[in-house]
Amino acid sequence: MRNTLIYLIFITLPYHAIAQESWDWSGFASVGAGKTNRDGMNFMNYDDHWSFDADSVIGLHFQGDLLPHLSFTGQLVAQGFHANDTDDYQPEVDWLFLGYQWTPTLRMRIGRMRTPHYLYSESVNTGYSYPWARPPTNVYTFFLTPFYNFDGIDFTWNGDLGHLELDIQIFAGVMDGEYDELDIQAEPVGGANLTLRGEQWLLRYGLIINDTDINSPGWQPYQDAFQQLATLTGDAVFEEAAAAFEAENEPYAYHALAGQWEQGNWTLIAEGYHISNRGDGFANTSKGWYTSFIYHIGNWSPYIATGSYDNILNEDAIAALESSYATYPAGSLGLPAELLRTGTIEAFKSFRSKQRTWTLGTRYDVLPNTCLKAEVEYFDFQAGTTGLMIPSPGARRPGDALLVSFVIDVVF
Amino acid sequence: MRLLYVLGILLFTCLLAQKATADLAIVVHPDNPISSLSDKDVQKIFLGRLRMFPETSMEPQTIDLPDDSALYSRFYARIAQMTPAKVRRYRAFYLFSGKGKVPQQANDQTEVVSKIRSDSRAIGYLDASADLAGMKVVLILEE
Repeated sequence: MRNTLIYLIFITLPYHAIAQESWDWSGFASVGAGKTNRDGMNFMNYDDHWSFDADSVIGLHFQGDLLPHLSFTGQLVAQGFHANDTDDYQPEVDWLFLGYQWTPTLRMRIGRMRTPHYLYSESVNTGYSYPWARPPTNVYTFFLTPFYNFDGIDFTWNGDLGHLELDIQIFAGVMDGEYDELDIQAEPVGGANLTLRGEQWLLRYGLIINDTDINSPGWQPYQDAFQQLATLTGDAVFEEAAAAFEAENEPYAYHALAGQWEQGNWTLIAEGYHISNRGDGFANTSKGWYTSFIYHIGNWSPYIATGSYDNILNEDAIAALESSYATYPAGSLGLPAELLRTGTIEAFKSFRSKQRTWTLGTRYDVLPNTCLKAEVEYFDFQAGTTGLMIPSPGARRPGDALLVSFVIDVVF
Repeated sequence: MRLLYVLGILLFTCLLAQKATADLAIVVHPDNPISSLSDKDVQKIFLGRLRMFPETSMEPQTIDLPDDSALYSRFYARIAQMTPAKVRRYRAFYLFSGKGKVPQQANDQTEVVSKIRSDSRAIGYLDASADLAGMKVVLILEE
């Protein structure tokens, strides 16, 4: 269903475009290496041995004009890391759209596009376009992987407000994907971004709302068991627990705020987001932020960044199940039901992820199209979690960790 | 009298020093219907934020000089307060996030002139002291 639009564009594109002499080809690539300092702590595809399979990526970009005001754009990307742990280095169509320029300031695009969650979401694979080894993961979180791109339509308007410029982007479409054995679909998706620009600064607010379906075949037995328990006891607490295993047309809202300010050799960038579910089913509440200072001196751009991330799964369902001990004390439900209750509370809690990070690094523009980056990130794990790092089974859970990364970014 | 002569030479030298870099001329094809552009228009056209010439339906084809040329640095510093490195980062972001095309590159001013003269949608920047015949000057950026 989601790919129908893309197939149509593929089919119609070559017919009109083959005769075009002015295809523009370009590309980008990054080679990254990194490791953590903790045995059994994994971040992206990094662990305590040097690995090249996390920040490395290659992309080919092509675009051309079809008719006056009508253009096409495509981008194929192969990357070393996918949060769903499949298809590493498999080329994927990240962008494929037709663009139509209605007026000097109004542009429409239709096809596959990167979802504009945050300031750098649309260029997240192009390391050359930002200062860090990777955009700060406190905001550019992995669980958005299924939502990296959407199939649909967007309108962008750019106009003047006195000495300021205002960009308005409105988009709608569908998104789907997998994350950690979950099948995720968002349909429909709608969103808007407002960007206000001064000479040396910008402010951006983004809102995305969607109806999300999330389910996992592995979770079905637990959902059925809670449903039976709810029938047996007649207690709504177990209905709520059963509902927490699945999202069906759950209304999620994504808010994002960003600011960027440049003064002399300094750049300050800050972003924050909040995601919540306003319905009763599977609920993921997430918030994060970062602030980064970058100093430009010659070809060097040293930077610091700090931020935090907090992700809670099914908070209300956990609270409801814990409160059920007042009505059904431990052991009163029988062993299977008790194991179900305690196991579910523990399982939901295990998805909690909270951290504070500090990053120190530098970018060095070695050639006009090539830069090197070296970065050390300190993770302070909080709330008994391992933040955005994933422990290997049975690994000791430390309170903190370091990640060292080196990246070469090229555009061509 | 001799003092006045010396002062005159000093004054002339100072004026010359002040105008050591010539103004920049923003040029288009003679058939282009626009007669003038503002600084802001030129900035937005070259940064890809204004996608048609004002009050026309004609999409500009921007022509850039190599980013290691002095004129390139002067142009982007003057029009957008951007260093060449910052322009490169901006262009990478702009291009690879599907926002549009980046300028065509000419090897030198002679090639800019030939592209402007042969493409009715072309817009470029040249040293104002260059031979601007066969092109329409839509803005002089004084330095």
